[in-house]
Amino acid sequence: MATGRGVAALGALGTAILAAGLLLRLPAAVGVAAAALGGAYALEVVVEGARLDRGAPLVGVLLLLVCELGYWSHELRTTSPDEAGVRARHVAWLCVLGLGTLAAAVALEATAELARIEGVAIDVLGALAAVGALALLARIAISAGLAPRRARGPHVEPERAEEAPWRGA
Amino acid sequence: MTPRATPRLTAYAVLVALGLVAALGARRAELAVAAVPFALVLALGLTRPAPRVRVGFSIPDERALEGDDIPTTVDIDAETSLARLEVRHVLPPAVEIVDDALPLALSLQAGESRELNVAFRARWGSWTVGDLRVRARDRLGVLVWERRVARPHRIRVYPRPEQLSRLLAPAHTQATTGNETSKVRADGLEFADTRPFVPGDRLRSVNWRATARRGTLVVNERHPDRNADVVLMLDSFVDVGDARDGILGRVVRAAATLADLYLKRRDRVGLVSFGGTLRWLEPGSGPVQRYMLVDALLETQVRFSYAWKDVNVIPARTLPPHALVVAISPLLDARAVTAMLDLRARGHDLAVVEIAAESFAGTGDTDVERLARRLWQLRRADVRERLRGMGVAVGRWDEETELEATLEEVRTYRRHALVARR
Repeated sequence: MATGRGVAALGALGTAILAAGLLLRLPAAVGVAAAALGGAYALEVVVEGARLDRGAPLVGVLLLLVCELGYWSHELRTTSPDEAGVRARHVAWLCVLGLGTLAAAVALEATAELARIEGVAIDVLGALAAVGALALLARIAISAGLAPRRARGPHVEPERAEEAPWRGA
Repeated sequence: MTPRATPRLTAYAVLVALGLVAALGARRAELAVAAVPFALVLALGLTRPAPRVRVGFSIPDERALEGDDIPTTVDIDAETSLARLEVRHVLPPAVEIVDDALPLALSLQAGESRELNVAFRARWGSWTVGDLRVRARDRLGVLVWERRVARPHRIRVYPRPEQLSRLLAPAHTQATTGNETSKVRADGLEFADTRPFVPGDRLRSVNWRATARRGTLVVNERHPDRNADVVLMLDSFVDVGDARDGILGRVVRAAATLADLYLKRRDRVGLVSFGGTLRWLEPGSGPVQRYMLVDALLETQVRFSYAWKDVNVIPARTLPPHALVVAISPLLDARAVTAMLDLRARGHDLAVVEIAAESFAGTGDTDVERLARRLWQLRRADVRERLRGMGVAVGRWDEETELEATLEEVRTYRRHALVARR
């Protein structure tokens, strides 16, 4: 019962953060909200679940779609207006992205269910895989050559290049 | 193009890390599975190649009238697929985009080209445009690539001319042919008078009717058509109001109108911008002078200065003898007023088009402010009377008056003033 209240509280917190972030135009709130919602799911799985939860891929995909829609909402209000058709294409892309990542997550879960081995060795292997995955992401990010965000100052009118037909002091 | 991380990158990386760590700590594979979609988006988004796009910018006609649309074209060639390409134009404050055509986000396939027709509208002046910013993003949106595209083009926006049917006639004309009827008597079209025949007169000049009446040969005298020298003197000491309808804007608009019409009459037109910085253009005629005058007018701006200036700083050749000097001024700066009085004292034929400045000053909320306004108006009236007392015609041009009516006021005064001077 206490676990249920905790899950509900975390879920409500995540939803509130997401709503506040969208209202206040804070894109960072989307990630925090997703972390809270994911935390609620993790609490539910850890405390209540004895068997492997077959809904995990769907939860992951739904969380991803929540994030994508949250960021899109933010982008629509802060960036340039789209030409006709761009939004429809983006909706279609989100569907493709959801289905594709769902398939990958289902495949991973099926693999985990098939190879259900327990022990220190598999724990170490899992830890190494997790660290390796994170290191790989970091390496990719560095190789992508991400530049720091440049400050946007006021526009200064360019200097006039041509000589005016004036003469004088 | 310069890549930049979006908020997605940080958030998804943290979520993946949390998911994996929680999966390890709790020994629950579901948490790692739930993190897989985020990890996939990150991995795919970070390994995508940088987008390549070519952007061009062109303006068919770089000269326009104030208020008219200036068509421009932005050409975009996508070499790679672009899920979202934002294009925006960084413009000088006096230039705006019609109908908010930019910024705009496009979606382009690899090899696709797009032509965006964007119209500008600008205040009078000379402006540099063509500073474009593009921001590209792939479908995953983990990174954006930004680039500045500089395709500078200079546009010249001329002030919209006022409607005028007549111009101010100079007191004296010059030696070459023009459209102004001279007061001297010589070969011409306009009848002036008759006089007795003297040897050397042409037979075609004989007035046969007068000859028959008087019994001796009488010839006609005529006024020739000559050109005039006109110097437009711009008071650029002060500016009040916004750039479009402020004092300087009206000064430039009046000057551009007068210069254009005088040049069409084959008069020689010069320009003196009398302000914090003295600038001048010697009188000349023809299309080249017209372009030089207009370009010079577009460069007119107020430069603040405490330095005292009088007519002595104006080169003598800029003010030729017998030139009509048309001063366009709000009569707000004592240096400009003194220069006008000096010009008149030196015998120049001077007329003043006063740009009314009263509407730019508040009416006053308190008695002291209202009293100050009245004193200020009295001082301005005194300046006008001092000018008129020296035979200088002053016509006021405000928002509710056409320039034509102002010039008619000047013409009327000059008619009587010329009689009085004789």
